[in-house]
Amino acid sequence: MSDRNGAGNATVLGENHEIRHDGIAIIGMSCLFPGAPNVDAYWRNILAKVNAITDPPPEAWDTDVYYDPDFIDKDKVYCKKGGYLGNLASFDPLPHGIPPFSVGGEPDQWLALQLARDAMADAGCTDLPEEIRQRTAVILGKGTYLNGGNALAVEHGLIIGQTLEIIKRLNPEFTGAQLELLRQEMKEVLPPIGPETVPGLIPNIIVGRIANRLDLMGPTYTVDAACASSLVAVHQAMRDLRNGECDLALVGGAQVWMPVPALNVFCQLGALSRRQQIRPFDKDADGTILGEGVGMVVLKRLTDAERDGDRIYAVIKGAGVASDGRGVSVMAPRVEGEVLALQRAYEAAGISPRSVGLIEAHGTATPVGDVVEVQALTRVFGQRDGELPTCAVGTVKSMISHTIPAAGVAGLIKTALALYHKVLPPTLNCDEPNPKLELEKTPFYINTETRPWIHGESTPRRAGVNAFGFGGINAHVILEEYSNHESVSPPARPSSGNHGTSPVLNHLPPWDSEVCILEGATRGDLVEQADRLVRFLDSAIPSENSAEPAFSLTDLAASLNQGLSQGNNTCRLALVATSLKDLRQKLDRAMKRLSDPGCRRIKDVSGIYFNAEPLGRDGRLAFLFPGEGSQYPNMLADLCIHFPEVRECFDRCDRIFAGHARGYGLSDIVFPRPAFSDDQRQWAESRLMRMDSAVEAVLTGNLAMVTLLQRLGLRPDVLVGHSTGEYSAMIAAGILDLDTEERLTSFSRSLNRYYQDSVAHDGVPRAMLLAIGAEREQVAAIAQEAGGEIFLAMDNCPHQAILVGTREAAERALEIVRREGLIYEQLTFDRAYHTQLFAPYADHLHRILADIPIRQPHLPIYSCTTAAAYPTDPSEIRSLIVEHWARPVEFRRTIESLYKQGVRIFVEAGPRGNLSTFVEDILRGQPFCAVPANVQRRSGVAQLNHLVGMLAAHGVNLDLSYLFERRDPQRVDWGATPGTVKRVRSGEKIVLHTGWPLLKLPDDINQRLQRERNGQPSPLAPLPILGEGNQLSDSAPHFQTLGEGQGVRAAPSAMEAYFQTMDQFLSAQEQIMQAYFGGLGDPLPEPGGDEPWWEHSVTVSGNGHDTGAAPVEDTVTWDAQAGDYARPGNGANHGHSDNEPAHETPVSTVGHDRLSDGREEAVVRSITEPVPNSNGALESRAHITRQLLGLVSERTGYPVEMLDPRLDLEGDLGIDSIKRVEILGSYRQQVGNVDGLNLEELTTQRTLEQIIDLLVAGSGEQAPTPDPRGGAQSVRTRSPLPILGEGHGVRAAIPNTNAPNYDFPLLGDVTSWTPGEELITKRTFDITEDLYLRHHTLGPSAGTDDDELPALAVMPLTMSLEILAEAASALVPDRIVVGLRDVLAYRWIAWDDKPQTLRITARYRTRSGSNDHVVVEIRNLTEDAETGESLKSPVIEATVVLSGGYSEPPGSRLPHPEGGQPSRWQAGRLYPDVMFHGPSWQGVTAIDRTGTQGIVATLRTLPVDGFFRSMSDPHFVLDPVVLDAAGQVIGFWTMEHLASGKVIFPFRVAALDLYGPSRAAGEDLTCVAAIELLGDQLVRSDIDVMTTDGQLWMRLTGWEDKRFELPAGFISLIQASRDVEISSSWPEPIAGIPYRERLQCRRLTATFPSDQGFWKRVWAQRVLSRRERDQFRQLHTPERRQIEWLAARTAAKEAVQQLAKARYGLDLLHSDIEIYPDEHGRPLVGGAWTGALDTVPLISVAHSRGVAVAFASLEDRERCPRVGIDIEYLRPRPAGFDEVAFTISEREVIASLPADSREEWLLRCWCAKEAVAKALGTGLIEGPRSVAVVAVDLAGERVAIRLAGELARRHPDLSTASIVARTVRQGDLIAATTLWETADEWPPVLTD
Amino acid sequence: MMVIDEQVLADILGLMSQLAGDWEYSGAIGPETRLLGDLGMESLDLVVLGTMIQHRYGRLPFAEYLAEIGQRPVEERDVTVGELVAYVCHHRGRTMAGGPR
Repeated sequence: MSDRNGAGNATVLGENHEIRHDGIAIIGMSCLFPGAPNVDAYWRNILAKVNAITDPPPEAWDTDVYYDPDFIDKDKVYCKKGGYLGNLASFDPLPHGIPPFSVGGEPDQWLALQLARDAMADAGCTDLPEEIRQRTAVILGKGTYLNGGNALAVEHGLIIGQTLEIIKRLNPEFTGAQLELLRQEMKEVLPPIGPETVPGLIPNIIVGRIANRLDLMGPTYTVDAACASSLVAVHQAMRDLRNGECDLALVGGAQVWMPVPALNVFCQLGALSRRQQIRPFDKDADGTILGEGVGMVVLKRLTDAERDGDRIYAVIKGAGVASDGRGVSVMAPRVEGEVLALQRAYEAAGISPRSVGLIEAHGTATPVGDVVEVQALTRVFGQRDGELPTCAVGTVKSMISHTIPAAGVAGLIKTALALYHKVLPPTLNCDEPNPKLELEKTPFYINTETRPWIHGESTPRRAGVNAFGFGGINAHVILEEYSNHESVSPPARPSSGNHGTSPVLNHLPPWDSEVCILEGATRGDLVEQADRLVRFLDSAIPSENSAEPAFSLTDLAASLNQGLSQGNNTCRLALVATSLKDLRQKLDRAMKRLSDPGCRRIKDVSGIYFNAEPLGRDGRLAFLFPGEGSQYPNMLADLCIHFPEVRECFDRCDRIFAGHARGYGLSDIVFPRPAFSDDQRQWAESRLMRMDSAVEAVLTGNLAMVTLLQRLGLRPDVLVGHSTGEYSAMIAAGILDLDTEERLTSFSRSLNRYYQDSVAHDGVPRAMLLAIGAEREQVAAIAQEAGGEIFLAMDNCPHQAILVGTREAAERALEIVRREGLIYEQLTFDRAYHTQLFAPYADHLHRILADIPIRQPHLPIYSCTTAAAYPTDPSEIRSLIVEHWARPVEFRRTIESLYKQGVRIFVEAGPRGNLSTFVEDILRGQPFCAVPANVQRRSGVAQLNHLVGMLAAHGVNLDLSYLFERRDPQRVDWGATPGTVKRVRSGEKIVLHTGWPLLKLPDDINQRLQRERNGQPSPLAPLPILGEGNQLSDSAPHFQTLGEGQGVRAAPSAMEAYFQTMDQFLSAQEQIMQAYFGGLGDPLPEPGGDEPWWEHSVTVSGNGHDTGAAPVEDTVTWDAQAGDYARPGNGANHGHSDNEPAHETPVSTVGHDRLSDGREEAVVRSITEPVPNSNGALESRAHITRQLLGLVSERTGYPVEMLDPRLDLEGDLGIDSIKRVEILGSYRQQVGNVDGLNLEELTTQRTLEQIIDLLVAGSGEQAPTPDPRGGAQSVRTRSPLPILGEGHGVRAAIPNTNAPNYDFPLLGDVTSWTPGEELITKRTFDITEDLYLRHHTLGPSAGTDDDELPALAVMPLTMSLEILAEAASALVPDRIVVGLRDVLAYRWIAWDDKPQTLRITARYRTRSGSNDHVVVEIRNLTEDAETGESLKSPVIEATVVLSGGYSEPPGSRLPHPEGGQPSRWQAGRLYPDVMFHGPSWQGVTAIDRTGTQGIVATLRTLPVDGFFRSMSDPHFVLDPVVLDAAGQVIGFWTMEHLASGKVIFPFRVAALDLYGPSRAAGEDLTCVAAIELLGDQLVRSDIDVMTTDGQLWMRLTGWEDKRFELPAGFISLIQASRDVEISSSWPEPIAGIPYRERLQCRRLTATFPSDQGFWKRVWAQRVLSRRERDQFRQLHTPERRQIEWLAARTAAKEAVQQLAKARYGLDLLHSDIEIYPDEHGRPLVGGAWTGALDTVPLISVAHSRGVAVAFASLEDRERCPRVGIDIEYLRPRPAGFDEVAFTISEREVIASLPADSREEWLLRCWCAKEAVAKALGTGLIEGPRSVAVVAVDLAGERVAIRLAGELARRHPDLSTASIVARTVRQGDLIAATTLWETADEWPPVLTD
Repeated sequence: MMVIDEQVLADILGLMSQLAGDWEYSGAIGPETRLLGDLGMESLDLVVLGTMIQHRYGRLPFAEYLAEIGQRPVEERDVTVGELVAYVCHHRGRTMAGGPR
């Protein structure tokens, strides 16, 4: 093989010395690859050798179905590992102006769009001028074989159809409806495909979208050259750039979603790895692994990029493309084709392959492919020349897998970064290179480690990238580093030619740690700074699982260090931290230590430094340079990567020996190539110890470190070198003038030549070196005793002296050393330095030095030969340099003299740090600071940070900006008020579908089919197959199943979309009705206001009763709940009545609203005067705007608040003309065919504003008139609530370092503690741990057992009191809690299903008499995180009183209730009948007496051992159970004595006093309460609890409960019984129907006077299934809509419950019945139980102004195929309504009705139309004209309806029938229902 | 299995804190604590500590022990407090005859 492919026919190309100037610069990059969301992460992963190849995420494809490791089934896949993007494939459409509903189809297009923007931003091209945009190309590699989106379309369109055909043939008995159901179920698991998403299936749309969104007009197209696609794209772009066709090019490749069939094809070919590991070039390589990714680069002609000052990652010098021609087969790689591509590239570039140091190989890890690739490379590069290979080879496929069309750009980006950062990146999984590669004959080696790219050659660093495509298309690209001769300084920032403002980032790898320095004038200041920083960090890092803070540790460190003073009067604390969390912990530790005045310094190994007496002020500073022995393999490697000036030192050393006969450079041995054998390893190791290399390594290392220290601004007062290190000291002192590279080269080469000559003549004196752990005197004595040629050569420190001598003498000395029991070590090198043995060799140095100018030192330098300052006379200096090699190193004496001279700070400027330990030993016990710049066991940057920290803490001035100048830190304003870290507002990222969804049916359908196939009868019998209701839960509802596995990822967004659709469906109707039936609904937005319209209060009428009587028109405020329950009496909700005359006097009320976003605001609500006519135009404009924006939002998915009417529809919002026609069409349908509305003209407008202008102009009289009464409008002002919390004063340092010693079950972890001052703790409460919460839920669980679907749990107020008491006790540990004052609870702490994290802060306030007062507050961090900012008030706060003992109890002041009588509540039935509390909280045993002003009850203390899952016997400070029982007593009283508002919850306690310790469990206590009603919303009680002997034990004064007026049905929600019936039966609408036992109609009025947001949660937890709960939580609609959603569902569930009970005897829980919408929003009924029925109930729901109704049918489908219901309130209709809602012929029908009932019939007809449209499942798709009233039966209250327009076309079979809708009027409520009866049996004529 | 003699452990921890001077270590120091990796000691510190231990417990073959540690691969070149205590206990028995000097 080698004969054929080796040097024999190698074609080595030479360097073309004509320098080509047509290089193409890479100026921007972006990428998304497995495990790497961006270029930073990609590069970080590469350097850290991260293997991002994984098992498929569950949503990618189902391994149970498609994975067969044995590949017996050839349709499956034997390799499941891959490079999967998973959740990284997500996209936020809003910033791109993409309507959210359009996001679908091929996922590549969205990611490519994002990455195109990212790459342009990276290039600084965010805002290009038009002339450049016109000349910008977009060329992307993208495969057109089976892509994900197309696969999906096939599934939707063909596979489902085929599957149904098969099913139909197998089951001919299936009805059309059953097949339709199957079809729907199958479609449900697939991501939707519709008009919005279809364009995205066309492959070229990927570049079309980029061109469109970025407005680029150069050539834009995709390229498919399989795996070579992206490099072929680069090739194309280079050509276009070079020939001037374009000026800028965005180039890359994309492969997102690897469908199973594609994987299968590769398995069929045997190309995937059987061992499921990609091992490029390894001997065990057995195939490739496929993956997903996108990468982009921005290219520009180099000359242009230089002109524009762009940052240039690398320069593309040439590219070559060639095909394989006719080889063995079309699939087999061919050497000749690859060679040709390479040759073409090098010829085009005029570059010799020999100058290339790095090859990013194609390296697919197929054995044949790897061998052929190396053969091709070798033919072009030639065989190995010399001992060492010269070119590193690797492939990023080993980390991210093979991303096919994106593979080339993955390699290109990696290689550009390698050149930019001068790093040789590693490749993975090559443990032993494949011997068939015969690498030893080639110039190549496999680089498996991250290594600095040291380069001493005259040509720039160069690299090649291979990409060889399946089918025989080969591409090679040659890159070169860009050097602008300023490479040491930070790279140029884009300037003149740049077109954007975004910062250009360097993509530097992150540091493993940062140093953060705080300072203050005094120690107190310092503690204050630390405290501020702690608070800032706590606010910025809210909880463990919340989002990343907006800044990094690097940002914070840079910001902190930037502000340091250079003055001397400061006190500094330096912390070396690895993360923000680590910093937080170290701050804690430091503050604890600083609080101890006895602490004079902190010098913590982990990196905490502080000095009360800093030495840097007066002490002098010495640099110490180590000698041989300090070098070690890979020393300073990471510093080379982070600091170019360090790497430059090594580059320079390599340059000195470039082309040198010895054949290697220093870097070859300091940064050895990864060794695959011991021989290779030993070669580098032994070289490093050899004298010549050792000297070079030490001097280079020292030079690198001193360069770094100088850049840090360190200025030494004196220099010292140890042995060889004296050269470094002399260079630094300017004695040896080696400033020019020539002189340095000459000196270094002379030293080396001299060494080589001496070696050749055996002239280097050899010796044995012994390091002995003893003082010099003892060691010298040993030498003397040993006799012969052995000498003390170095006196390093008291525990180390070095003996150097002949082997014989040394052996004798060793005997003595052993005898003495001394610790010793034989050193690994053998030069007889510093003894007279070395004198002959040293003498020759004179000759070398003669050529070097010797100058006077410009910095003081000490000699270790004399332990004194260097002489100044050059000849004396020369002598000393030579003498130094023959005399001992007196390091100890030198350090001692320096110390005497006032040197206190010793900085070791070299590798390893030996000298610093010597100094520690020498100066032990005295004040000094010795710090090495580098140690072997820490990374280079970590030690640098420690050095900076130690020196800064000693007051040494440093230029810390140097640490950050290349790393683009963002400024963090940590001094600002905590919590001001702003989050950038953007939309939710949509996770894209990159999986292969499994087409499947729900389990219960399978079972049903199974039964039928087995010939068993279908369960047609009405009575239950399943029997008991509680067995239902054994089989999960089938929706649950759907939500698992395959469907999981699809479910949330798909379901949300469905809900939106459903919500729109309902709200669209309402909008029409509100607009035309009085327009009383939505108020108009304030002109110029920027609030979304729904944020305004909406005043609607509600019906508080379920009777059929005329509704009592209470005005309820729907979206703004009246009054926070903590701030009673402010409700603004009883102001006026809705149907009062329009000229009502203006009313203003003020109330506090708890807004849905949690902000505390006051609302000034006013009822305005009727809008004068002159304002009509303005109002109609506002109305039109609102309506149009609502429509746009509905049709595109943009949130309304984003829709600024001035935005460009196409340009900013991506709303194309088709979409515009659709939107405007619906607008026209909503408002009717208004004259002057020219659709064509409208759709050509650019902005919504222009459209609105036209609409306003055209609307004239037609425009909907505003609410004649004016709308209720809201003006928000800030609440005057006291602001508590964050701004505390300075905290005094408390000298106490113990941790708080406490054992309180509710406090959790201490986050901050200042003994006696302040305690902050954090605890996460969860119903799985805090079991007492399970017994404090509002109602029983919604499931069949308690653990399933728990109801809403709320924290008992008294448990909150216990938390407060515990915190106070912990803060003041030696006192007892005797009471609480001013308890105020602001909000509920409640658990839907997730944990809540509370932060408890206790602050000592004052001592009053013998009492200590501690203020405690609880914040709910979970709530804060949800609302995005800290709420202004805590959830609860109080003052806790502590004392040395309890006070003497006074006598009870409370008389027993006057006129007391026995209670109607029976002992033993108290809780089941009245309360919701579970056993843990059932502390009331009897109500003894009750009266109008008080109550007497018996309480019992209860055990608390079951309160926590993980703590058996908690100790509480209070007795929260008895306290709660005392409070419950008031509840028993209200339930008995009050007719309304009897549900109460406590929120305020003026005082709690305790007169004794907690009582043992099981003791009876007497509770007496005096109760008084305050207004109609509050109950105030004074409560005494006494022992049975009448002694007062506890007193509650001013215990205040808030009363809740729950609508009648809702009280049962919170009671213990599971039987809840919230809605009421409403038989009237179906009264006339013969089979109405199979029908149910129910209605529900849900109006909560206050705390709607809370009751909503209570309600949801009681009626929804788990899946519905999740859906409910995802609803982002206004609260009013959420309530309607719940109400409609509840009514529907209860209707179904009734039917199932009556027909089948089934007892269903609410949660058993799942209501879910189909794709049009029509509600369907589901649940496991439906499988047992012969027919599934049909339902329809409607709501209007707070009333929700549901209509359900269990009737045979033949008889009742569809149901529909609609309701509306009767009210005056505006002018023009009739014309809009009805056609002329409809109006003729109505006009013939009697005048007195025409108004009412108009509405009946309208409802009838709605009901029919809803029954059809689609709604009024074309507005009012979708269906037509054809006749009215006045006596029968029926309306006949016919389908029209599009509906008629869609349903030709229904288009001729008249559908009957039955109508009814109850009070002002009109309802229409339809059972889809046809009107054949009654004449379709008007009846009087 | 490594048997930790509590007395020797306490002695050695005392010596270590003497050696550490003003250096602090914020974690708890126990048998698992590594002298180099965790406590930041250098090889010379091991010599000093070895010398101090010999002063207390008499002569031990420390040079060989340190040489053995020094020959380990870089990442394993360390010794835990527990290992050191075990080493001292193991060798003390053999050299106790001479007793502390």
